[in-house]
Amino acid sequence: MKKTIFVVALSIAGFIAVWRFEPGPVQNTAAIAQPPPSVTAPSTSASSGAPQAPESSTPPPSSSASASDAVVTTQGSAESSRYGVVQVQVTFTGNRFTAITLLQAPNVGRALTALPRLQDEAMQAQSADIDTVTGATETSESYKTSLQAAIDAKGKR
Amino acid sequence: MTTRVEQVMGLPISLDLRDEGDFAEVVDDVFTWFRDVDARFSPFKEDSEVSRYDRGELTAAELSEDLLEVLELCAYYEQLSGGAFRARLPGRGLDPCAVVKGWAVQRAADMLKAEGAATFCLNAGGDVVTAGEPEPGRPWRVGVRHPEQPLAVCAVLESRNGAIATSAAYERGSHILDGRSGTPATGLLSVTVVAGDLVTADALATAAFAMGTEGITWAADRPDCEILIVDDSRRVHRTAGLALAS
Repeated sequence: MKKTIFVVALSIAGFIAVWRFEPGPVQNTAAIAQPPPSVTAPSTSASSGAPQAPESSTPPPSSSASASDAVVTTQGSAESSRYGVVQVQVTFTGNRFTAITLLQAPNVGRALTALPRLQDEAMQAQSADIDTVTGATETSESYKTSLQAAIDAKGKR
Repeated sequence: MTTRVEQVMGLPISLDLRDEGDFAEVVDDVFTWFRDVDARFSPFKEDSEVSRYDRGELTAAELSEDLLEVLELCAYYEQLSGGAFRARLPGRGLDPCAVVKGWAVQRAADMLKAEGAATFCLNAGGDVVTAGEPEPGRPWRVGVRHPEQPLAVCAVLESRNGAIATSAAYERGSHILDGRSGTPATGLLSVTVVAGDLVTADALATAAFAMGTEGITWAADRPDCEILIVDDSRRVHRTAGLALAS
């Protein structure tokens, strides 16, 4: 229980750290980033009131000898902001907080406060099992050769 | 479970109703409603209410509640779009079609819901209203037609209770005019708007398309809607809250 509180507190600390972190200009994470970029968390002890100031990011040890050195990874909840969804993952080694990973971030401009609402991306056709199609299909002629007509025909079988 | 497709109001209209039970009567009513709307509001029919009003045979005081509502919506979106969206272009007759479609289809969806239908997808010429989930836990998956490939989609959106409209000019050039200039809209290949109701989605999509590239930020700034716009350099612009299927 004590550990849970600790983990949650540091999650929040990590969240605020990432929230305050100003990313570089080229970051463009529209969905969950894999592999996720590790970022160095700035000190948040002043603003978060976390029991222990987060330290700089270090690679987590590959194995742990004792329980107190166990690597614990926790994911913050996905938080909606007016700029999109932000979610962080915080890794602990024993009592030490070792990494913050951005799982989801809004499409990022220079700083979070200046995020554009819009995302630009290359047009990419996806194939998926779809139920219907939105598109300007306003004549019987264009309907005949449309994906929607194919879907309707399938439904009538 | 009912599937029905008809060509009404000059549109192919598809209804995919997944609820158990007998909805034959309300489904008939819905398609009768579309035929009535066509008869009353088509600017292409000589004796429609719209044509008669346009010729001065009816005064505003004599108009039906429905047409008044449509004309109010037209005026609202004309103002909101700075005149890019316009039901009456200089030298042309009154054409409220851009609002009538979304309004009529949303009304039809409301008719279905009032009779207890909770799981359906109603698609009128590519403008869509969805309700519920076609399978437990799964939202409706709505493909966004690729603007250059009729049988491909450029995105798949998820929708439960909501509306999605697309304005585009795919093959024969634009037929949507920029109300400010009276000339065909340019700059965008397609505009898809997701909103809580189809009146909003359809009108915003049409207005943004009419505005051209400035319609991208204009639509993105509207509250309570999400957008996916393909511009004429084939770039996709979408708002962060758009529910893309994974």
